[in-house]
Amino acid sequence: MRNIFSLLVRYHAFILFILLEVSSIILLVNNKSYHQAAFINSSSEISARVFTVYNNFIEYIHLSQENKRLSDENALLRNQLKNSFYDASFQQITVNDSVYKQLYKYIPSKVVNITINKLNNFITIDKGKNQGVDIKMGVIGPNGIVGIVKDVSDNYASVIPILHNDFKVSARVGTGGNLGSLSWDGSSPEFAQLDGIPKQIKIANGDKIYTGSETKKFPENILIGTISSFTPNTNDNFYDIEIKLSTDFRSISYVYVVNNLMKNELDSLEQHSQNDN
Amino acid sequence: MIIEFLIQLIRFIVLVLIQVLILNNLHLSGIFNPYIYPLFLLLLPLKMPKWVLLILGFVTGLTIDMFSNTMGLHAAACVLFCFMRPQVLKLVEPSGGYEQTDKPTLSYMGFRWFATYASILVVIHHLFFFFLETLEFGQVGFMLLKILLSTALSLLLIFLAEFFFIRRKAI
Repeated sequence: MRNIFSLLVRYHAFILFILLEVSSIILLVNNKSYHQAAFINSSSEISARVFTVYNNFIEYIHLSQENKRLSDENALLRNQLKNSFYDASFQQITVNDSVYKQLYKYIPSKVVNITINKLNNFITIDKGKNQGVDIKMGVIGPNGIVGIVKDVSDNYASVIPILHNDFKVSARVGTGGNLGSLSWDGSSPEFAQLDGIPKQIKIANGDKIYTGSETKKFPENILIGTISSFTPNTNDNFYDIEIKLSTDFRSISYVYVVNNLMKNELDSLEQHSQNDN
Repeated sequence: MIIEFLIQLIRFIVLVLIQVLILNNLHLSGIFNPYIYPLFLLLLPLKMPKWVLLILGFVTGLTIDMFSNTMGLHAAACVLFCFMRPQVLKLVEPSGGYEQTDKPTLSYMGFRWFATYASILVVIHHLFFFFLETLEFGQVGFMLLKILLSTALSLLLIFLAEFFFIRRKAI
């Protein structure tokens, strides 16, 4: 017994080193899984609060730019309003419209922190559980898709952007074209890679890439980016496509969280039919 | 004693803030990721017990992790850093041994001593850090370039910070 104690005293530094190193690695490995409720990350209130204070300072510098961007977006949205169209039909029929039901709700929120030069990047936004944000919701910006919510705290959420190893979304060339899978190889924050478009499809540089229809996180036909270059892969039947992302992650500051109001219904239906099999 | 503690605490807060608010947002390119916060661990008192050092390293790493969403990554690198620090201190020990009043800073120990001491430890920290980070992606060529450039930039920042403190002391 005495020997064990003296051994512990003698090698206490080494034992502590091993303990701390192992717990670090366990934290690191656990954090990789997608749903894990990480107890420390930037959606934790303390760090998010520090980022918010800092952000309020920095925001003043970019205020005029941001106003310009918001007013541009306002103008774009105004253009799509019903009352900005001239009614060219000869006859008017009034229909009590019960055909359309709201499917997506958008929660506007501000980016309080973003990294873009890591291999796995993160965005922290200033809306959380209290404002209706939940994990696995999609996030879009003024110019296109941004990412997916990973963790939420009461007033903040952390988002996995396209620039993350775990990010995958189905994407299609043009509005009716073939479906492929979008991912990021970690090299440049301006480009992502599209896989799974068969070689026999004709594509061209500059073709627009949109979100596919079967993803429940994003509305259909939200812009992702444009094709900047492509080469046929010699090993399989698909193209290797380089996508210039439409969202500029260097300057993004306002985003919208997409709340699919029928997601629960869809999920429980799919769960149900899976259980039946 | 209390003053010494306060100085360390303020240094910790300032370096963490510089790291997470400025350096982490330095969107130069994917290959420049300088880290200045190891300076806090470099400047801790010479005679600090090993277990305190290790725990401080772990806490420092976790603090940085909390702000950069890299759970455990910085903590692992910092714990290794703190484990190696007493060994490196022994390696670069002056011929007469350390004086009671010595501090591991540039102004006390001179540039050559500090440069060797800081370089060895920062290289260990960066090697281990980027090695762990790359395990998830596996681009080895890219990693080597990243380690080289980031280490050089980190050391440059650490030396600049130390020179700044020397001048302040002289006034």
